[in-house]
Amino acid sequence: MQVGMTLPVMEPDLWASSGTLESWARTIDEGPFASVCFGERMAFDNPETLTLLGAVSAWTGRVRIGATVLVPQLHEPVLLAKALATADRLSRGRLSVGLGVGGRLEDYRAVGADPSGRTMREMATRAAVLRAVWRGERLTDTIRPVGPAPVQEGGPELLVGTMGPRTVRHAAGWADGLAGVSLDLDLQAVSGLFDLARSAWAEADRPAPRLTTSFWFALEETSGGRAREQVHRHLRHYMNWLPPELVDAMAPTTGFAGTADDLVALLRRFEDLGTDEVQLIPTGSAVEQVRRVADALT
Amino acid sequence: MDVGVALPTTVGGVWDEPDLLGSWAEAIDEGPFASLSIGTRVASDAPETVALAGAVAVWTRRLRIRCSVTPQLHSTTWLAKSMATLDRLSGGRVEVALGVGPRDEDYRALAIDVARMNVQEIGTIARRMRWLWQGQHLSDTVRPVGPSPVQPAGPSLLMSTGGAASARSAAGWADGVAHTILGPGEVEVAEVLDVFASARTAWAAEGRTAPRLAVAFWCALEETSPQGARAQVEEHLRDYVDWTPPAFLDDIVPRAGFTGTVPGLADTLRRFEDLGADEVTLIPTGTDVRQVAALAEAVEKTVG
Repeated sequence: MQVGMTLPVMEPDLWASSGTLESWARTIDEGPFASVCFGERMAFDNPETLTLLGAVSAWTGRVRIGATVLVPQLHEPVLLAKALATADRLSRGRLSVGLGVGGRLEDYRAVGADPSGRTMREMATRAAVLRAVWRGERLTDTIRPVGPAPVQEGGPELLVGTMGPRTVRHAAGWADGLAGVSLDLDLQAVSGLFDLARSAWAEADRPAPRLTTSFWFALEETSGGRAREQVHRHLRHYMNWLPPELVDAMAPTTGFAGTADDLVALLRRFEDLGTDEVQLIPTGSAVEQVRRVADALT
Repeated sequence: MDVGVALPTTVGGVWDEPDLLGSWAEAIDEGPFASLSIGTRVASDAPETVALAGAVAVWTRRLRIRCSVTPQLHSTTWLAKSMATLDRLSGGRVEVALGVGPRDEDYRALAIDVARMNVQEIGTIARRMRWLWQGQHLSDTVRPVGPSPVQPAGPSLLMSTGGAASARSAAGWADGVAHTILGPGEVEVAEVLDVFASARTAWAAEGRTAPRLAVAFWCALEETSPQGARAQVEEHLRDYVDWTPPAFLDDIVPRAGFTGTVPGLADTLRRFEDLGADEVTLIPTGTDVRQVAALAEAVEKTVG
């Protein structure tokens, strides 16, 4: 099983020092990680996704670069295809794209996107547009098609951002696999979702899905023994569209809080489920966390 | 006077070597140049501007990064967030040139109404971008659209002008004009003088400080064009400018761009300095990165 690391793009002190993203990206590239990942929001202080894809392509030379996840409804689909193909070129074929409908209608409002398009059906349509552009199809009356062609044959893999059975069944017809997130680390639920994906993909007569998932983490070693508090603080900042009481109620059971060795043990249990990749999502911006996880993994 | 170089994003073969754009960016950053420009063309193999700009912020340490974009083609919120992110990633080195662009097919490719290809809308979008950079909410969201740019007022905004009228239209909001000319010939020099004079007058009438006056044109140097500089420009334009009638192209090709030697380019740069230009951007017509060193030599000759 491969392990990926997410950049701390949602941290409130992300921009306090100018080199944080660069040192995370370079440290991840040097470590035992398979991918460097990040998700998307609009009405927040996180970096814009497509701009950051270009920068991460230049900072790294080895790891896969994962959008976990990108909300295609927030973008003009043809331009999104061009930007992702450009990122695939700049990274020499290292791009992986997770597509999700997103949890926040306010991000739709912020970019003037139609909130009624926040559906799996619309996402499938947009995934088809991405692939058509990548194949070099001319979707409108232009002299040349919209390039460049991606480096990867057929374009980067498209994984469906999912938390439940409905999205998995819906995406079997077009996605290459799952870009999941596990809030409460319920391994039985993860296993059930993976089984569902395997059978849905088989029924759709498609090759076995790539099964990836992710969860928040904090280490006792890098939080002064207050890992659970670090997760809680992060969730209160990140989940600002939910009532604080709800976030407080979720916090004790959301994500992983423990020692690096416990984290490695947990990752082994994900491996036992047949997980292809777990992407860890940090809840603090100290790059020391990447080194600790890297040491524990090797 | 500052001199900048554009990346050869619309030249055929730009992807033939995977590190070509990176080596151009690094060579420009090491040279006597003030800025690096990135142009946009949707329906072509040219890289997408924002993703490329993210990489350019990493490849360079020093240069201003000018993104030439057509804001009508984008969500204003997305564009403002992208440029603020780029300002963060580059440590405050971004400027944005806003223009309607030369091709209506770029609008059609993105299903944007071609009727929006007008300069009036650009001022409205520019003001909204600045509001977003100041942390104002343009829609009902819990937090504003961040991050805030490094530059306190946000990146400089230039108007990509098509002539004196579009220069005047931008006097209320732009920090200056970026005027692309067919070449450095006498007709175009007169056009530049007209645009500069119109901009100065219009900015003064608005009670604003003098506009920054930037010019851009294609170039090819004898020293770095195996087939000859004129042939290099012609080859590029016959490939790139495919949206005009062939007869129009036959008319413009012989006088398009600067073609000549390094000392000749130095003379041309001096001439634009005398005309009052604050910056000249040289747009390459070939992908060979050795052109950057030759352009650098021309810039060095203009000093002293």
